[in-house]
Amino acid sequence: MNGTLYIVGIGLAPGQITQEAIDVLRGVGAVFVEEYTSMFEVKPSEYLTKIIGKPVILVNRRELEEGSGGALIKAIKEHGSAALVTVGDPMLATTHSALLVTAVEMGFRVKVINGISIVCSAVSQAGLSPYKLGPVATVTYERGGVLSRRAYDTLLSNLSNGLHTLLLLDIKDDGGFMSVKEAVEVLTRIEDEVKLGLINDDLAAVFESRVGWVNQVIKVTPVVRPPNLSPPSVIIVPGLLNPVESEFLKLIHGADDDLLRRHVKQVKLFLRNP
Amino acid sequence: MSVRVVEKRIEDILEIMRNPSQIRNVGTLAHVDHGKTTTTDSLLMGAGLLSPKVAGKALALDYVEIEQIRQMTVKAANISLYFEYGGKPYLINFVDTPGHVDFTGHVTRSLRVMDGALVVVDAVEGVMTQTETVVKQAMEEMVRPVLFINKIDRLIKELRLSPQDIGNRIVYITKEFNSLIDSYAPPEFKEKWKVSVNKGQVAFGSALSKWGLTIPMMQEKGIKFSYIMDAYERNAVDELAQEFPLYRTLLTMIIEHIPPPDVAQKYRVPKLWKGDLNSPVGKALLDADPNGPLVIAISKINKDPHAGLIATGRVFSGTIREGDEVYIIGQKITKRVLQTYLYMGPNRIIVPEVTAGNIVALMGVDEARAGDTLVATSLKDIPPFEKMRYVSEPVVTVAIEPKNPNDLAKLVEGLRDLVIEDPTLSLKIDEETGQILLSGVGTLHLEIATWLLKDRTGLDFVVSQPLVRFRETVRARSQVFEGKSPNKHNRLYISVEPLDEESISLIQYSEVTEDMDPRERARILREKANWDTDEARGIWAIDNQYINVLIDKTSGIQHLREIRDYIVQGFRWSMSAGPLAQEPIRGVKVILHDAVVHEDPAHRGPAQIMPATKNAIFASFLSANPTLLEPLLLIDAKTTVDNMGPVTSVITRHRGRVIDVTQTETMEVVVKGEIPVIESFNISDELRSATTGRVFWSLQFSRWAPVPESLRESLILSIREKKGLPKELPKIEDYISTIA
Ligand SMILES: Nc1nc2c(ncn2[C@@H]2O[C@H](COP(=O)(O)OP(=O)(O)OP(=O)(O)O)[C@@H](O)[C@H]2O)c(=O)[nH]1
Ligand SMILES: [Mg+2]
Repeated sequence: MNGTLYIVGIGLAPGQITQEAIDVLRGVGAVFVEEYTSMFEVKPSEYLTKIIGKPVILVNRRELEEGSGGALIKAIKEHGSAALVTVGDPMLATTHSALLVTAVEMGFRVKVINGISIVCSAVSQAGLSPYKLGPVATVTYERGGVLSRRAYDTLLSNLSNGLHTLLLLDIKDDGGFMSVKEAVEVLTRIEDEVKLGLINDDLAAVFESRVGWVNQVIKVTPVVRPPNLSPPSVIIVPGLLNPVESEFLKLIHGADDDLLRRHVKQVKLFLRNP
Repeated sequence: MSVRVVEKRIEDILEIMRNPSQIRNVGTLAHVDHGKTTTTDSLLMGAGLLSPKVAGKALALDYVEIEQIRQMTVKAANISLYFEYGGKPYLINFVDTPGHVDFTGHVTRSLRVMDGALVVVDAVEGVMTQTETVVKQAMEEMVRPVLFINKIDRLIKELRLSPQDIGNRIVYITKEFNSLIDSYAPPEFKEKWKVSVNKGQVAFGSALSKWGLTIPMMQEKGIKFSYIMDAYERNAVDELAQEFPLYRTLLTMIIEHIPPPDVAQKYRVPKLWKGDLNSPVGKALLDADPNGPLVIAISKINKDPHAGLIATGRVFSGTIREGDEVYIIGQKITKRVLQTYLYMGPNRIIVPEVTAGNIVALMGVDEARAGDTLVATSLKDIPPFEKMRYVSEPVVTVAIEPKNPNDLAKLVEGLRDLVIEDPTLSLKIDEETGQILLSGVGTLHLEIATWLLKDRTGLDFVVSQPLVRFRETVRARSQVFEGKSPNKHNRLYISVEPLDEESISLIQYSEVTEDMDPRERARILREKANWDTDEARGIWAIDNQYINVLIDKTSGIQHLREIRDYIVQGFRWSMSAGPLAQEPIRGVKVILHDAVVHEDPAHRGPAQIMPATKNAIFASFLSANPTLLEPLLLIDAKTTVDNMGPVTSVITRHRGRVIDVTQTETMEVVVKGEIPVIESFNISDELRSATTGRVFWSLQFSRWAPVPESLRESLILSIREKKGLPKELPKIEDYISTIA
C-alpha cells in the first residue's frame, strides 16, 4: 500500500519549529496533533493552523492508543499521507514508536521529523555534560495504590556511577502537570521507606521550569527545598561535577558554592567505585 | 406496663448478664410462614417487655412496615427476654429470623450469635426444604436445635385428625427432623443433638393461641391429646393458654436443653475461630471469660436514621464498655465505641457495658461489616472469626433509575446503605452509562429492597423488570495469548483454563482466600484439589466473589513487582464482566506466563496495564470453548398423589428436570427437581392452577449450570442486546488486533 506517515516534533515553544517540519506539514494530506504528552507555550493547534495555513485535527490518547491511530491510517489511505504532530521531539519520552511500527506493518512508509526535546534542552540549559547523563526517569503519582520507585532507583543507580539524572514529571490523567514540590514529596516518601539517606539537605538539584519559553526559570537548591515554579518543569540531579560544570551552575544559575561542595561529598558517599 | 418496670428489669438483667449460666442465646429457624414471628411475639408478651394488648394487635418484631403488609419477616430482629426459672432469673437473647429463602442471608448472619435454635415446624406442612436449609446452616455453625411443632390447631380444625393421629403426627415430624440432624450434625453431636419427645426437647402447640406443651408436661398433668381437642371443641382455647402458656413451655425447654454461652463456646470456638486455642485469648474465648481480652463477632449492621450505622454482634470474650477503643480486623481500623446497647423489642437500650456471652449493639464502629471481628487494640494480630458462608447468590437483577436525574447521588447513597445492611444484595453502577443495577437472590428480595429504598429516601424511581444474572466460563484450556497495553509497549502473556469443582468449592466457601498464609493455602489446594505446588505458590489473587484465581508463573521479569497490583486489578475488572455478554466470569484459572514491561513508570500505569491484562484474558477466554452458566433453582413440592403428574409436567415444561419423587408416611408425594431461574417467574401461578391449590412448594438456589448448547448463542445475543452491546458474538481478534 502507498502512503506515508510523518511524525513531527515542533519543539517546546513557537520559534523552535524547524523548516523541515513546516515544509512537511504544509505538504501533507492531513495534520493531527496530540497535546497530552507535553505542553507548548501557546495552544499548539492554533499556532500550527497559523503557521501552515490549514486546519489541524486534535487527537487524544484514547484515539491514538486504544484506537491504534485508526484515524491517521484512514487519512493516509484517503490523502496519501498524514502527520502526527507532538510537542518537543516526537520520539523522546513518548510511546509513538508503536504507531510507526503499526504503519510499517500495514505497508506504509514512515518518517520521523525531529524537534527540540526537553531531554536535550534541560541538560544543555543547565550546562551539564551530556557524556555524563544517565538513564532518564519519570517521577510518577501513586496510582491504583502503587507508588513506583523507579525514579528513586534510577537516581540512586546514576549517582552511584557519578552520573547526572534527568527526572521528568508525571502528567495527571486529567492533563494537569506534576509540580516540582509534588515530585520532591514523592522522592521523600520513598526515602522515608528505604532510609538510605540519599534525599536530604546535602543533595543539590537543578529545578527547571518552562524550558525554551520566554519565561524560563532555572534554580539550583537542595533537592528537599524546591522553589515555587510553574509547570511544566523538570528536575536534574547532578552527579559528580567537573570544574566547568560547577562554575556554570554557580555563575549562570546562581548555585551556592557551599551547597555544591556538600553535594559532591554526598554523591561520593554513594559512588560504587570511588 | 410503665417505663419504670422496664428500667428495673434492665438493671436486673445487667446483673444476670455477668453470669453465663443464666444466659441463653437463641433464635428461631423455620420454613417460611411456619410461625416464627408469632412464636417470638408470644415469648415477648410472656416475658413482659411489651404489654399484651399491644402485642396482640401487631406483630411486635415485624416492625418494618412492609412485613406487616406481607406478614412475612424479611430481616432478623434481636430482643433480650427476661424469664425466671427454678427461682433464678435468666436473660434470653433472642433472634427472630426470616423464613423465606430470599432472606437466608439474615439467617446466616444471625447464627453466629446463637448457641441454640428454636426450630418451628408447621404441623400440617411438616419439615420443608427451607427447614432443611436452615438446620443445615445451624449445624455448620454448631448451633444446637430444639423443636417446636406449631399450628396443632390446624391438625384439629383443618385435617380433623383423631387424638391418636395427632400424637403420630408429632412423632413423625420429630423423626423427619431428627433425620436432618443425622445428615448434617457434626459427627460428635449426631446422637446428642437429636431431639427426644420424651425428654421434653419437642414442644407442640399453637403460637396463635399461645399455648404449648411437651410430652413430659402432659404426663405430669396426666392429660391426653383428647384434652386439647376438647378445649378446641368447647371453644375454650384461652383456658389452654392460661394453663400451658407457650412462652413458659418454650423458655423452659430452651433453658433446660440449650447450653449457656460458656458451655457452647467450648465447642463452637474451635470451629469458628482458627487461632491458637492455648493462647490467652484462645482460652478466654473457650471460657467466654468476661475478664479476658475483648473479642466481638459482628453479625449485622443496621442504619439508624438518628444514630447512623449500628453494629450488632456477640461478645465472645471480655467486656465491651462505652468509650472503648476497638480494632476492626479485616478493615484494619481502630475505632472508639460511642455507645453500647441491648435490644429490647424494637428499641435499643443504652447500657454501660456488655460482658462475654451476650449480644450487644454498638454505635461508633461505622466501618464494621457483618462477619467482621472486633478486638481489643492489643490483639491486632489474631485471626478473625471464620467468614460467613452465604448459601444463596444474587442471581436476579433490576435496573433502577431515578425519575429526576438530580436524585442520582442520593439514590446511590441509599442503595449503598442497603447493601451494607444486607450483603446478599449487590450493587453495580456502570461507569460509562451510569446505570444502577441491584442484584438479589430472588424477585421478592429485590421487591423488599426497593420498597425499603423508597421508604427511606422518599425518592421517585423506576425499577425495571427483573433480569437473571448469568455467569461466563470456559470449558477448555486455552493457548497463551499476548495482551498489549494501549500504548503497545507493555505485553502480557496469559492463558486460561477451567477450575475444577473441588477448587471452586474451596474458594466459594472461603477455605482458601487471598489474605490467608500462602503456604497454608498451597497445602490445602495440593491436598484437597491436587494442585501442582508451583502453581499453588504462584497465586496472586483469589476472587472469592465470582470464584476465579490469578496465578503468576513468570520468573525474573524486570519491573513486574511495580505492575503486579495493576495486573491484579485488571484481573478483577475482567472477572466482573466477561467478554461474551459482560456477565461475571466464574470458575476460571488465569495464568500469567510472561511479561514485557516498559522501563518508565509514566508508560506502565494502571491505564496501560489493566487493559493489557484484560485483552490477554479475554482473547484466551474466547478461544477456550466459552459458554454461559445460568442459575438453577431447586424446587421441592409437596402434593397429593393424584397431583404428582401435573406438578412434574409444570417442572419439565420449564426446562426443568425431576430429580426424585418420594412418598411420605402421610401419603403425600414430594417432588424434587431443578429448574432454571429464568423459567421460574410464573411458576407459582402455574403450580397452583395445575393442582387447584393443593401443593406446598419452595424454591431455592441450587447451582450454576451451562446453558443448553442450542440456546447458547441466542441467549448471549439477547443479553448483549438488552445491555446495548453490539448484537454479534465477540471474536478473539477484538482483543488481539492492533489496527482499528
Ligand atoms: N392456624 C394457625 N396459624 C398460625 C399459628 N401460628 C402462626 N400462624 C399463622 O401463620 C402465618 C405465618 O406466621 P408468622 O409468625 O409470620 O410466620 P414466620 O415463620 O415468622 O414467617 P416468615 O418470617 O415470613 O418466614 C400467620 O398468618 C400466622 O397468623 C398457629 O398456631 N395456628
Ligand atoms: Mg417471621
